Order: sequence, then C-alpha cells, then structure tokens
Amino acid sequence: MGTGKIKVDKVTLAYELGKAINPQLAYGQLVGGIIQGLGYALFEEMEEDRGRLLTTNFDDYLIPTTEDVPEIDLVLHESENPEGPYGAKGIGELGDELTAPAIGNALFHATGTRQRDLPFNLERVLLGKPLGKQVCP
Amino acid sequence: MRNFCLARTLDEARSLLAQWGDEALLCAGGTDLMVALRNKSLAPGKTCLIDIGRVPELSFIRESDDWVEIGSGTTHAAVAASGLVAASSLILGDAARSVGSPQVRNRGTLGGNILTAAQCADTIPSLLVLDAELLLLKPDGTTRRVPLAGFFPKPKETAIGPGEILLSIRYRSLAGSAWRGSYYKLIRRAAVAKSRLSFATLARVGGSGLIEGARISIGSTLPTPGRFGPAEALLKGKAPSWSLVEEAAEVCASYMIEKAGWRWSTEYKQPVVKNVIKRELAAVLGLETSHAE
Repeated sequence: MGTGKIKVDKVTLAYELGKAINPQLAYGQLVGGIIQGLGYALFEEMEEDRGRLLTTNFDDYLIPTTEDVPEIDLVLHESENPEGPYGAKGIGELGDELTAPAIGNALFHATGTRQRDLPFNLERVLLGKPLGKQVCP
Repeated sequence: MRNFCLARTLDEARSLLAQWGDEALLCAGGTDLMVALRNKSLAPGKTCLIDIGRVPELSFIRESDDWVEIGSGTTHAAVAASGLVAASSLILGDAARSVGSPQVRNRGTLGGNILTAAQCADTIPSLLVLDAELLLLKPDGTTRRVPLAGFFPKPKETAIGPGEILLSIRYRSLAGSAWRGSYYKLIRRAAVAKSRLSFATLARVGGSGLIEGARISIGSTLPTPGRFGPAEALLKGKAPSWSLVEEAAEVCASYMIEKAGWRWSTEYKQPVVKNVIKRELAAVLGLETSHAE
C-alpha cells in the first residue's frame, strides 16, 4: 500500500544439525533465533549522536511482540556427524543470522529493490534510506 | 514531586486542587505522567500529584438524546469494549483498541490522551472527526463546554484553564446514519508502539450519490492536532471517484506541508499520507479497492 511496512507471513528454516540429542530444545533454540532475527531485520536500531545514545528505552528500541511472529516452518534434518559429541553439531546462535538476509531477499523479490542496511524499517523500505531518530514530538 | 493525594470523589479532587493550586498536577492513568516523572521532564513547580484515576464519577459511557458522552477517566479498554461507542462513533473503539498494550489500555484514560496532547495521540484524530466537545469543570464549580477543535493552541499544549478538570467528552451519535468510517494506525510493529501516522476518516454519501460530508484528521502530521479542511471542502458535493480521491490525497499532503513546513520526516510522510488516505477515502466512500496493504 506504499507505507514501507513489512509483514512477514511465514519463515521456513531447514537446518542440518547432525544428531538432535534433544529435538524439542533444538526446535526452541531455532524458533527463538528466527524471532530474534526478525527484530534484527525489521526494528532494532541503536542511534547515537556524537557518542550519546539516543535510543534509551524500549519504546524506541523495538523488539518483536508475539503478534509480529509469523508462521514458522522448521525442518530439522538429522545426519551422521562423527566429529561432534554423540553426533551433534552446534546450533547455538545460527537461527537468528538467517532471518534478515531471507527477508532482504524477499523484499528484493517483492519490490525489485536491494536493501543492504538494517533494519528494514518504514523509511528504508519506502525511500531506500534512513531518516534519523523517530521521536513522537 | 513531594506529595501524593488520592481523590476518592470529584469533590475531593476539587478541594485538593484548590488547596494545592499551581503546585498540583492531576494524574489519571499516569501512563505518560509516570514516564515524565522518571525522566524529570514535568513542568517545574509541581509538588503534589493528585490521583483522580479512581474517581467513580469520571468513568462512564452513556447516551442521551443524540449524544454519546464518555467520562474523562474512562479507560481505553472500556472505550474499546463498548458496543455503544462502536456503533455510535464507527471509529473511536478501533482507535482506543490500538493504544499501547492491554496493560496501558487498562490504566490509560480517554481524558488523559487528550490532555497529554501528544501529536501521535491515538484517540484525538477520531474525536476530531466526530466533532467532539469537552466538558470542563471550573474552580468556581461551574462548567464550560468547548469543541475539541481549537483545544490545542500550541504543540503539546491544551486550552485547559488553571484549576480546571476535564469531566467528559461527547459527540453526536452516528448510529443508524449514512456515515461510514475508518481508522488506520501505522506503526512500526504489530502492536505496542507509538503511531507513526494515524488516519481517522468519516464520509457520508447521500441518496443522490454525492458526498454530503467528509471529515479527515491525520495524527502526527500537523503541528497541533486538527482536521484537513481543504480536502474536506474539495470532497463535499462531488460524486465519489478514484480521480477525486487522488486529488483529495494530494490536497492532504500539501496541507500538511503548508501547516508543518518541510521537516526531516516529510520526505517519508508526504507519499505515505497520500497512499494511505486514498485507500481510507476509497473505503468510506464505497469505491472498489484493489489496493491491498
């Protein structure tokens, strides 16, 4: 509609993790990572002015709410891994690094514009550049 | 802030206000005030906080004759849940529902939203297009009624007088009328964020197929909350069409720039005001819309 607002409908993540020793824990780790990555991709920004932090509260520094969380399709692909403990591979932080590039690619697919700076907020998506700190006057 | 008083009745609030004079600060939900208190950004010289958040006489929603009247201490949650408000205002319930989070809506009040006078206040645009009026209690015990339009002389300021208490807000019911309305709040995430822009739109198309009235207010666009008169005048008396809606959208954006000047955010707001108000007007005028969000 021409506001620059992104709504993520669905995230699909396939992850090859060796042996899933605790599948439920692995699932939670990756879903949490996706949601954290969603905030990184769309909202989170710390702005400063000559070293003074301007983003000083969570009314400016936005993180996803439950209402922002899209449908998540997670595929855990198990494989043999003789190197790791009991065949496992690490999955600690990797979930949250993939969301932003995926959204960036989806944005490019939808609009034809390649946006290379995060977050993909209203101004960047509509104008292709940031407009500085947003303060409710 | 050195003193805190809890008023249990309106009379108590009045006498406390008289007792503390210029040092008093009224507090209803406190959702903005508590933040200001912590930031030490309150007006200087205020030493006594008078809590009127539990005064029962200030919390009500009622209808008499054609008017719907809402007590200033009515919470956003109560306004959002009211079937009477939904049917009579078309849009105020949606606006109240868009405020903050459930916790904020349970504390914050309609009167507080008006008196804080933030440009991004969620309920003010809706109340402006409803031609709302305020009932103020003066220190001498008499009341005065003022239109909400003109109640904001300067940014973040209201025309409330010293020692006055906002009692209620009223508007004429639109239930059963030909008016159609829409409220849209543009925010940075799905919920719990300040509005970037908020659009309150009402329009009425008569039996002749012509627009009998259109009312537009867009939050966070003008220096003080107000209506978009030139766009309303343009629409009145004409037949709804896409080209008319496009023209009205141009007029809205020009009016914003005329009133607010070219600001750092104008580069974003100018196209977005046009894009969104087109869709809002199309919806309330009953035009076929192929523009999905």
